[in-house]
Amino acid sequence: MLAEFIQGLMEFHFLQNALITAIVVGTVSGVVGCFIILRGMSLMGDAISHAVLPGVAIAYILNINFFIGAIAFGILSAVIITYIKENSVIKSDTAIGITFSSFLALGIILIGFARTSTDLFHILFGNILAVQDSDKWITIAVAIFVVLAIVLYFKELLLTTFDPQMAKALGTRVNFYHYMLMTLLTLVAVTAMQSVGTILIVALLITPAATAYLFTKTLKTMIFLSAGIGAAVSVVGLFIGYSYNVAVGSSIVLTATVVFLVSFFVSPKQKYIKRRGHDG
Amino acid sequence: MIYLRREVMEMIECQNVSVMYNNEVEALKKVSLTIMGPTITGIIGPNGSGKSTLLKAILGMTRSTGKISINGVSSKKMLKKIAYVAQKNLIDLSFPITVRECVALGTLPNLGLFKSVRKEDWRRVERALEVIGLRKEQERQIGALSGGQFQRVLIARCLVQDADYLFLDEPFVGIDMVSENIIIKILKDLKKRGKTILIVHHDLSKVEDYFDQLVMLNNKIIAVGATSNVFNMQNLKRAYGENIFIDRSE
Repeated sequence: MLAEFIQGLMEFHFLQNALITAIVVGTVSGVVGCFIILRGMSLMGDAISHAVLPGVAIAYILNINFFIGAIAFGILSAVIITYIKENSVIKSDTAIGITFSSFLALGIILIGFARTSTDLFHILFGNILAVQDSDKWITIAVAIFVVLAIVLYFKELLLTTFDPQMAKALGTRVNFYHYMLMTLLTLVAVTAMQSVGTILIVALLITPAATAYLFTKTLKTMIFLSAGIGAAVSVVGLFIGYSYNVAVGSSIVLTATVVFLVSFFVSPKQKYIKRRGHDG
Repeated sequence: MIYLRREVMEMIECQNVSVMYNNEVEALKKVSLTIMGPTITGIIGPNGSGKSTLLKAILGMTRSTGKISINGVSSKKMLKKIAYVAQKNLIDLSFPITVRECVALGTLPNLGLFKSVRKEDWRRVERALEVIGLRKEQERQIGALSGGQFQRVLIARCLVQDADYLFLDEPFVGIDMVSENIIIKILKDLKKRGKTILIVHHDLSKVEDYFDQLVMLNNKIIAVGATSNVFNMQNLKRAYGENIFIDRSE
C-alpha cells in the first residue's frame, strides 16, 4: 500500500501537489493554532473558517481572487463577534454561534448563484487531490507570510496572549494583535479550505496544537511540535485517503484525533494515568 | 546589596478622576489625590470600592474623566516607567512558559519591535531570580510553582523591567508567609532605590507594617496621607461601615 502511494507520488503530478499542499497547510495551521487555543479562541477559529464561505462565493461572482473575498469576510466576522461581545450583554459563544451560522448559510446560498465549476461539497469538505499548481504556490506564499508575521511579532503575540493585562498597562495595542491574529487565521482558513474543507478546518487548527500543548512547557517548542504534528497527520491522512479511496480531509482530521487521543493518555503534563491511579 | 538613593521626588497626581462602568455604576467619584514618592502606598477599602479601578485609571486601562499626571506629565506618556502586576488569578498558569521566560517579559518594554531578548537582559533575569530566591526553579513551567512562588516571579519581572513605579494589585492574596515576607522585603529595598510603589491591599492587619502612606477609598476618597494619620477607627468606619474589626493576632 505504501509502495503504491510512493509510486503514485513519482508518477502523478496531482498527488505531488496534494502532498506539498498538505504539508504546508498542516504546518501553518499548527503554528497559528497554538495562539488560537492559548487565547481560548477555538470557537472563534471555527467561526472565521465558516465565515469565509460567502467571501469565496462573492469572489467567484465578481471574478476576483477568492483570497480577497475570503479575507474580507473572515475579518468582518471577527469584527462583528468582537463588537457584539464588547458592546452587549451577549456572551462570546452566543455571538460566535449567531455569526458563523448566518455567514455559512449566506455562503451556501451565494455559492448557488456563483455558477462556478467549484463544487460546494469540495469547499465544505476539501478536495486536496484537485489542487492546481497555482493554488499550491498561493498556499506556499501565504504560509510563508503567516509564519514570517508570527516570527517577527512573536514577543508581542506572546505577551498579549499570556498576560494581556500587562500588555495593556504598557500601552500595547492589544486589539491590533487580536485582529492581526484574526487576519492570519483567515489566511490559514482559506488555504486549509482546499485540504480539509471549510467544515473541518478548525480540527486542523486546534487538534495538533492541543496535542503539542500536552507535552511542552514553552511556547516555542509547542509551536514547533504542533507544526510537526500538523504536517505529519496531513501526510498520513493523505496516504490513507488516497490508498483506501476515502475523503482525504476527513482522514486528516481523524488521524489528528487519534494522535491527540493517544497523547491525552500518555502525556506527562496531563498526568491522566497517575491521577487515575491516585483516585483509584 | 548596595543601593544608590535617588533624590528626585516622584509624584502621582489625580484631579477629579471619575470612572463609570456600563454607564450606570460609578466606580470612582471625583477622586483627587497626590502620592509622593519614593514610598510604599497602600490602596485600601471594601470590595467594590474602586481600588483596582484607580490603578487601571492611572494606567489608562479604563476610560476615566479628570486629570492624571505623573511628575507633571500625562500618565499615558509614562506607561513604560510603570511596572504593573494584575491579580495573579487573571493569568493562565497552564500556559506553556517557563519561570525564566516569564521574568524575561519584563525586558520587553525596553526592546524595539522585531528585537529579541539580549544576553545582558538574560543576565538581569538571572539576577532577579536570585533576588527572589527561585534561580533553581528557572526552567520549570510556571504551573509547577506554588501561588507564593509565582507571585515572586511576577515581582522579579518588575525588577527586570526596572520601572520607576510599581503598581501591584492584591499581591499578597493566597500566598504563604515566606513569600509574603520575601516580597515585602524586596519592595522595601526598591523603595530605598527610589521606586514609588502602589499596592491594592485588603488585609487590614498588616497595613501599619507595610505602608508609608494610605489611600482609603469607598468609590470616593475617604482619606489620603501618612498611614499613622489615616489608619484610624473613624476613617475605617467611614470606609467599611460600623462593624469593622481588625485582627492583629498574627
